[in-house]
Amino acid sequence: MIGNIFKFGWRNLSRNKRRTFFTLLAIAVGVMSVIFAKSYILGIMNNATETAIKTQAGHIRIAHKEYLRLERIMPREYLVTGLDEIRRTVSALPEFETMDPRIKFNVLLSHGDVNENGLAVGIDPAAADKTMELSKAIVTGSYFGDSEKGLGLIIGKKLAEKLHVGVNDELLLVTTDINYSTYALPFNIAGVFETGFSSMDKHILYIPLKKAREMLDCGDAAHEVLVFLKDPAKSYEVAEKIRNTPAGNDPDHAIRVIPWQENDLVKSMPVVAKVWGVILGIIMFIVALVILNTMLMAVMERYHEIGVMKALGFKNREVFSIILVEAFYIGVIGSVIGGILGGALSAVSEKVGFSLEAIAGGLLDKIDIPVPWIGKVLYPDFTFTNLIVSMVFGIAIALIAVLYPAYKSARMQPVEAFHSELKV
Amino acid sequence: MSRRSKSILPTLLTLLTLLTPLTQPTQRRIKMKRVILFFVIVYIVSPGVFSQGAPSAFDILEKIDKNMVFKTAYSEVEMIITIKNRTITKSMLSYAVGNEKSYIEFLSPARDKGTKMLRIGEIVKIYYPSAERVMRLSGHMLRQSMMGSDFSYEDMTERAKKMREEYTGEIKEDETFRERPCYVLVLTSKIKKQTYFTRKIWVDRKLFIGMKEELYAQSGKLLKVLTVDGLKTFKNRYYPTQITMQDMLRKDSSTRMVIKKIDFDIPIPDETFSERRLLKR
Repeated sequence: MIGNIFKFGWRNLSRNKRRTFFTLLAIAVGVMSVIFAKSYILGIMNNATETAIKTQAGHIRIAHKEYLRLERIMPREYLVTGLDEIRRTVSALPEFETMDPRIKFNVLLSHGDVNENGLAVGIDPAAADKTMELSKAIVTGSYFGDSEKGLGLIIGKKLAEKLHVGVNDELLLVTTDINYSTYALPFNIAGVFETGFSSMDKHILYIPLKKAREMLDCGDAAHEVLVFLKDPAKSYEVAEKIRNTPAGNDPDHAIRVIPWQENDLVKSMPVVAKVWGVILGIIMFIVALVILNTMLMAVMERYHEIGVMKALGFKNREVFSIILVEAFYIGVIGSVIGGILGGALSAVSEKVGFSLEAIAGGLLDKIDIPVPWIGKVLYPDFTFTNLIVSMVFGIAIALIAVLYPAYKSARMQPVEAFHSELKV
Repeated sequence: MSRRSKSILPTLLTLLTLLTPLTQPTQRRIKMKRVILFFVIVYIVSPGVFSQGAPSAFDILEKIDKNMVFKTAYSEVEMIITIKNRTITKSMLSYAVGNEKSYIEFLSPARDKGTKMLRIGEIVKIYYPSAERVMRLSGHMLRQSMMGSDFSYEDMTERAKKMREEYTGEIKEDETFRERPCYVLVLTSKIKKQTYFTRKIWVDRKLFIGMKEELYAQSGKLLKVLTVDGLKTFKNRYYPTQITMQDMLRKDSSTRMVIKKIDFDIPIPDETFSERRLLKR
């Protein structure tokens, strides 16, 4: 009998092809939308976290507490010393991948008669490229070029435009060192980079760490040391080990060792996730309504047909089961189609990325916040869990939608059914 | 000038009222009371209107400038920057021709030694020995901190002429500053983009020297405070020899300029104020 019900349900699908097509379409499009929306949102969140790790948090960040407190005004005198020791400690660990010390300070830039303020970041070009992958962002020139002389720099595209400079031009950097003396060095522009982060492209130039140290007169110290691990989950463990070295555990207790999970931006993610959760909820609600509506109508317009079934001797339970089975088939087929479409769309856009510039027009340039948040290209993040959950969602909604009409029609007398066409 | 002519008018009006024949005594008396009350209010509301010959804010500023002006000057100055609990002393020598041109050369500390600054009008050129390059600064870039101090380049270049053109001035009630009576001038910028939108200046009534100045942003936020902490007489005139500037946006920071030696009206070769001199070792 059960086998017959499944057979009957299946056959029913082809009896009114147009009806089946539209219900399938509603579910497929709904499931596809949910999958893609989820991938997109996950992409935004992961993108922000990843950028935060790459550019400011590392997997572990080591810095002076006063530097962290006053980070907005870039206090130059609060430094982390004993870098060699930290390096010895972390490089001995199996989890260690790379260490990226950085120096940041405000500079006055001068080329001919044009002056601008900028933020100079001293980096070890090789180490920093492993993490920030800045060499990929170079649009003209090269990544520090032949930096044998050590006086090459790379500069943000918009900053270069403001200064009217290009590759091979000389740029004079002037700053106040940690002892409040003024120091200047001429640099040669080796490359111009464009990351899409407005705050970076407009203000930042990267110079070799050695030259940054010379300018600030700060020996072999750094403002912050980013440590990257093979396994980001081990950050707390490794942070504890660094804290136990003399460099990480100075007598004033001024040095902070911060795992990436404690980064402000990363910590704000759950709040951001909630906001996106609400948006996703609204999307899912609308999708559910559309499916519900289509399914409901698909059953209700068939009361006449159900009356015939009842007159032929089908039991209440059997009518109920047949409608449910039919809905299950539609749900599964629709969800599979939606899953394939949504999955493909998400997977492809995960590879290709979305140009936010194209979507937002010139608006992106106007977002000028100090924390890199949105890149020029957004990559949705497609996961298998997302696919499965969204498909189950589609099937579940299809089943829920027919529960009431199925129950109602199963209990109807055939005569009643013939009369009550399209009436609830 | 306009202030003076204004102040005569109410006095004349008063006299006229007083001289009118006294008909209908009660009515007249009430009217009189009203007139007197009116003038009392005017007097309270606008102090200075009645004091004949009171100088305008710009008259006072010009008088200050006259007091400060010299043909040429050579000075040796110490700049003491105090920030939190650190003190950094820089020494420099300076040549100046009036308010127009100046040349400053830093002598210490070692990292600053050889840094030379040339100012002609509102253009500043700085030579950095570490880079062996000259940087030219002008416009809004002059708002930068000068050599890590609380002074900006702009603070060093401003004079009364600019004040008269770009500010409106009024004189507030007198106050004493360090037990000396002072005029208090409040200058408000006519230009929106002014670095210091409002300036409050305490001017010594006898010496005509600005003793204190508070500089505000348009929002009303106090940006900088300048005080004169030491005066000396040179050839019958007083000259500030110790000035302290506090940049309120830098926490716990102040910069004191102490003039160790100053010679007025000495011959200075023209070549001093040239870019060639900057590049010369």
